[in-house]
Amino acid sequence: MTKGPKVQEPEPDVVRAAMAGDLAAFEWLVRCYQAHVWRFLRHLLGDGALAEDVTQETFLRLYRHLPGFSWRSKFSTWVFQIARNAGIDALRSRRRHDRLLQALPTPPPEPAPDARAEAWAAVAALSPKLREALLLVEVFGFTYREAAQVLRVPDGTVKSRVFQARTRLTAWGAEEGRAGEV
Amino acid sequence: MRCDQARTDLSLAADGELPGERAGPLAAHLTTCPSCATFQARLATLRQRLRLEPLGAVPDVAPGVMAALRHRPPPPAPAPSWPVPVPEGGRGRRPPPVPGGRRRVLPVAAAFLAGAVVGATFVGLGGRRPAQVAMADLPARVVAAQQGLTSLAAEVSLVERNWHRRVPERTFAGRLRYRAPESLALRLSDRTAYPSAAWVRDDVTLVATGERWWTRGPRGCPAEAQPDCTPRAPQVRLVQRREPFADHTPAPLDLVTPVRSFTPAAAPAPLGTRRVGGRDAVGVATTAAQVAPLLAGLAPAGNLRAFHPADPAELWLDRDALVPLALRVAVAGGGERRRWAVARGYPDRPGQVVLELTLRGLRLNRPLEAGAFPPPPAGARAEDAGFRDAPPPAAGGGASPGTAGGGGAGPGVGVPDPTWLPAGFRPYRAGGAGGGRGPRVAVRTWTDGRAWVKVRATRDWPGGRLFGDLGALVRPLGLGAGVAYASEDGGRVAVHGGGTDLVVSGSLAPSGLARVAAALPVAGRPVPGGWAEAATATLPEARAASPGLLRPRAPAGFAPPAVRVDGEVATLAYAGAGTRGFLLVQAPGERLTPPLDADASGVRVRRSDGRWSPERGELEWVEAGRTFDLRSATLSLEELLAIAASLEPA
Repeated sequence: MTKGPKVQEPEPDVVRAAMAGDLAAFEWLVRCYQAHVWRFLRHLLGDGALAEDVTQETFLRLYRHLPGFSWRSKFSTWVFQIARNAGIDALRSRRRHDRLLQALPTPPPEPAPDARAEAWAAVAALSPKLREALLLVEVFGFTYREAAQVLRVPDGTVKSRVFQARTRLTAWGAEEGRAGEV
Repeated sequence: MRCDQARTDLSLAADGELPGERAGPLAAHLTTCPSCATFQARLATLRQRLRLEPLGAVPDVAPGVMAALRHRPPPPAPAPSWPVPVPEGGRGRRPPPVPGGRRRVLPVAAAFLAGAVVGATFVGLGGRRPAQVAMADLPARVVAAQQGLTSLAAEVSLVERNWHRRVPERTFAGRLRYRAPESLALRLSDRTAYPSAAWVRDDVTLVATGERWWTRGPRGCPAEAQPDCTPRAPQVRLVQRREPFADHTPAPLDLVTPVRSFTPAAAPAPLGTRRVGGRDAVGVATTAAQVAPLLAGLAPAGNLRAFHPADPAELWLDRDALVPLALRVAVAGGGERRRWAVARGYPDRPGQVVLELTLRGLRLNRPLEAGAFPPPPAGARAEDAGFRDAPPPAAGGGASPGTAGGGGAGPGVGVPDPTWLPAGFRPYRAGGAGGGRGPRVAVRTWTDGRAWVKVRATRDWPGGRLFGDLGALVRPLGLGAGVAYASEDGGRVAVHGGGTDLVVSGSLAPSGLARVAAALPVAGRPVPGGWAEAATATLPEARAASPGLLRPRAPAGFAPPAVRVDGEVATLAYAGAGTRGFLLVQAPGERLTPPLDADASGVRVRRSDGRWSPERGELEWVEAGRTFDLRSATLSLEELLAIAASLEPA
């Protein structure tokens, strides 16, 4: 199954109930966002299993920070902010971990069975800064303003990073893939 | 314009963030610069590749997260600054503190993890056991809930967004009244603050009673031609002598119980339970296509915006009566949706809520106030719908074919008594319609509350196709010794008998309608060779005629397929709830025909290169010497790709 670019806002009542300590409401929020968060982290981290751990960590942090949610941003933006911070922390600790594993051989790259996988492989080759901006806007459908809130950068920075990412991907022919033109 | 500026602007435009004044120069540049036009096409393909990502198995972290949280103290919550929703009886007060200072933690239904049952109510903090609502049988319960519903009264509030660029939000207040089985009054008063007096208020009234309906409201007018095109005087339409439960009457019974939005049974995605307007509500995530019958009911006249079939819709139903309490429609994402909005002038943004309907002060099965169904304005000119009421035969009075429903129009045949009807059903209106140059039709109806069954019969059917407007794709049903034909969605069952043609329709589940058809003493014959439905086949027949036939693996929420075999071309039609449905056409062939859609693009389908035509909603590919054409006006590309992926030998 595929996912479209629609990260929805939850019912305010559900958020309020979760803030008031209702675990059923909180579980509902977890279920609403876990697929989006995992997908985002998988591309940010380049590792599905690590992304699963960090997704879980994201929701534990979300629960801790929930009383501080101020309604000044969209709830979905706030969830992605927390997910991104958890992802960056994981990247930092993985770098430490990687130094220990330097002697081990690197696994071969995944085969690219179709054009879509090739496009994603090109995304993985972008720098993390360009990649996260592109993911938020292109894949998850956030506006520049919302993506800027997640990344804590000015709106114009998001605009320019998304443009740079697209320019690189099209220059690499990431969108052509093997499917070719019909 | 320089190319670097054009490309920056193309990137902005792709995200809907290009300032309006730059659109013209950009378009002009694209007509003269093939290189930037190619860049634009590449951005579109890139988006398609990235947004349609096969996710495979998404891990479920919820059990792990929830297990960890249950061993932690709850977060220190600040004093809430919002009104805390509480159960009835505790209005305006915060829930009582839980002894020990800890907040009450509601159990999560274990069965939620199995996907069949949703968890505890979000706000049932008043000490009651949280409600658990079985979702799997919700469609059947919606159908069952109609019976015994005698009246409904509610106040309606409606918020609509993006109808027009200069009117970002319109608000309506009104009321809904219903008396079983088919009297309905809906009045909506437009409370919007318009930019100027040039805009005409969209005040709308619909009143349908037994044999009459009338509407009053502004004449329909495209939003882009507003505000000048709407005439200032409202239009009044009055129709009398209407047939009971007539198809073309704007009596939106789905506003009362959304039966058509849940038949054939659609697998509802649960949203949990919450309080709406002081009542326990159960929510389902659905789409505008599925709730189309309900949405259509909101605009019996006047100008309401349109919704894209794929727009996500949250429907909250009264937990017990299954009456709609709230409906929210949001904007779906994706390039096609954006094109659709641009074509209509809607400034929609993905995720934005564009319709919020709420019913408050719901009263069920209580007497309605006098004047709940007001008469039409004086002087309104009436159209005659041509139905003549005639009393059905007295019970046990030797009713036989040829006597019932012989009304003023003098139908040549009556409607025989069915030997089975759902328990509680009693006769409602009967009579005759047609005549003149068309066939004379006898009609009988039965109801219980909002549930109804209608049988129309004629002896004058000229043939060529089945009586009853079933559409070209039908499904044969074995009925005792004979055969009947069901429409794609199962909502009509036609019988072509010796000398009599009849059709059964109603608000029952398709199996209920088929059972009523089987209970009529008319032996159904196969349609003659020259009729439109003669190519109708069963799946085994289609398999024999078309070796290598594929079919989707049990698509959830769709009725069994209607099948046609025309020579070597096999067509499978699947209908779902509301207006959801798709068509799969298979034929021998090695290549696709040239595209009919200017926006057609390449897409991977079942390990081959296919074509997606968004305007036509058509996904085509070639596989093993056969061409496949999967079409839908209401399903998204993602849904069609999932159906394509599930194809297996029939």
